[in-house]
Amino acid sequence: MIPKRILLIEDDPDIQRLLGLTLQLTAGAEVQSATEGQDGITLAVDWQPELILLDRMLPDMEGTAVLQALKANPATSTIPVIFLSARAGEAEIIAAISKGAVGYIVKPFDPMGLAGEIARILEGAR
Amino acid sequence: MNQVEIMRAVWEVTADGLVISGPDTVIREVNPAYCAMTGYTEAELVGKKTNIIASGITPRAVYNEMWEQLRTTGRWSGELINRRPDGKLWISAISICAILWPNGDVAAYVGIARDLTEDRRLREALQEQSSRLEAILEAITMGILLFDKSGRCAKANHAALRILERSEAELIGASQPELTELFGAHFVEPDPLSVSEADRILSTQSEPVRFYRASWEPVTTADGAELGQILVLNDITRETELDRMKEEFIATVSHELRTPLTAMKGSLGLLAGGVLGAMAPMQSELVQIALQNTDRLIRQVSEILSLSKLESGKVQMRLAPVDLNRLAGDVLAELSTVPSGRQITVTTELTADLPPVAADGEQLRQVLVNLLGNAYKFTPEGGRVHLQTVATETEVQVIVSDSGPGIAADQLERIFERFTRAPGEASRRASGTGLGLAIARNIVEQHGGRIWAESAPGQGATFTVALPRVTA
Repeated sequence: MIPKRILLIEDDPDIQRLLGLTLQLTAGAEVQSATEGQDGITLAVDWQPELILLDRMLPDMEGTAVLQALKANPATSTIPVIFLSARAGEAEIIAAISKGAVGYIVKPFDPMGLAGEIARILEGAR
Repeated sequence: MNQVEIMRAVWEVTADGLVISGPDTVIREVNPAYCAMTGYTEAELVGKKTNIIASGITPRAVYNEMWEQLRTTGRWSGELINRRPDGKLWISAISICAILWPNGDVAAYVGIARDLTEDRRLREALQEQSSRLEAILEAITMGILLFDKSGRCAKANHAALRILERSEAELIGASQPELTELFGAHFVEPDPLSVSEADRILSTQSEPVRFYRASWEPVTTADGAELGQILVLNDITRETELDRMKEEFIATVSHELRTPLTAMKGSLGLLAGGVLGAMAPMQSELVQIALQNTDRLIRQVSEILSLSKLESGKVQMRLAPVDLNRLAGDVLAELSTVPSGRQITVTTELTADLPPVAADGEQLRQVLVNLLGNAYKFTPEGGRVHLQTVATETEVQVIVSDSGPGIAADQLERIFERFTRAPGEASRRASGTGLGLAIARNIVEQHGGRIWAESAPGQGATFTVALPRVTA
């Protein structure tokens, strides 16, 4: 089982739509999306999701900066964040985790296995 | 031995040529060294005029000066160009002294000659070599500075002057503190003249920034005595720029190709997964084809990026003790779960107590995935894949054999090149990028190991990875 309220901060409209559909269809999640980092931070404060999927590269700011802002705000600091990125290097993954993300999902991912992967990451973070 | 006998002995053994002539320059006596020098026998010389050895090349003015000096001072020293009986020229340094009677008339002339030919030849050869070296030094694009033992700049070639934007007068003779200041003002890095690192990269303060690889080499004599140090400044601005462009390209490719591939794989995966409802068999088949080819493209992009990173040296190997029996067994177990649609017998022959190797486990896993993956791919229905581990005195080896179509002898090396696949029906049928073995070789070599293939067409192939044993 994975959280039902998931915020997706991802700038590519196709990936955004696909992830939304995947999480709805395979895990019954309610998904809201933001295309830019600042909008994502605002939406996280207002909507209070149970999980945030955050792209590493956004048009207005780096994903790591968004993560830092979320962790610095008491309203969002406890919400688990999983990074999404096409950069699959070990260094990037370590850097993301060290900044406070609970995990890292590398694109391209298998949509049918995505919910399971999220569940495993959240289980490991507990 | 009396004085006369001693003088006679000196006359006989001295290396200098001695000649005594009368006032008429007719030779009266010569020593053995003079005969050896001139190429004439004593009998051929005595009774002849001293000009028997003249070549005719020595300028007349030299003789004029010689006779003038002998007349006025009784002595002359100079150089004469002579000719031997075989026609060969030789140069002598000669001192002539006039021996006078009490009345002042010349009784005899005594000449002491030394053969300068060899000295001259060596000097000329040295000058020629020096000119050649100077020409090379000035022609090369690398900046070269020579420092003496005290650290003063003794030589700077044209390229060095250009790189440092200084004149020869500013550099030559400059002391170490002056040079440290001069280099410090030119390069960004602190203490650019530090020799603590054999090789370091220096970048200029001025725009556009240029990058140089600075290398130090000691200068010693043939018997090892220290003469100073050479600093070589090699302009690597272009290479640095290309490296940066390559990194940028890898990052861009990584993002720009993976993002659309994510959308394609995701969409097809949802359709194939049936979450949007069941598809007709033909629709399902077409979606599967699209999905398989998307996965293939993803693999190709990943392998190109992996190889680019490996080749650029950006992949840091995290070495730890690795048990190759366990790693190879794990990879084999993983691969055996992938359906191949063929009945393949897998056998193993793992050496007990195999010593560990110092390796990056993840990178080595990639090597074994590539080798065992190939073995599975090329093994036909009813064939076999064999995995063996062996310890030699110096290495630990993993040997992967298959009963596939084999590889022609002229292809055994080529298959490790990028985008190279062995020709033949089996290769055409098996999917692959032609990068797997190039990646494997790169990883193995970065571990100080070796990888090679052995095969004969129709008799399967054997791939061996040999990694150095950890020495205690």
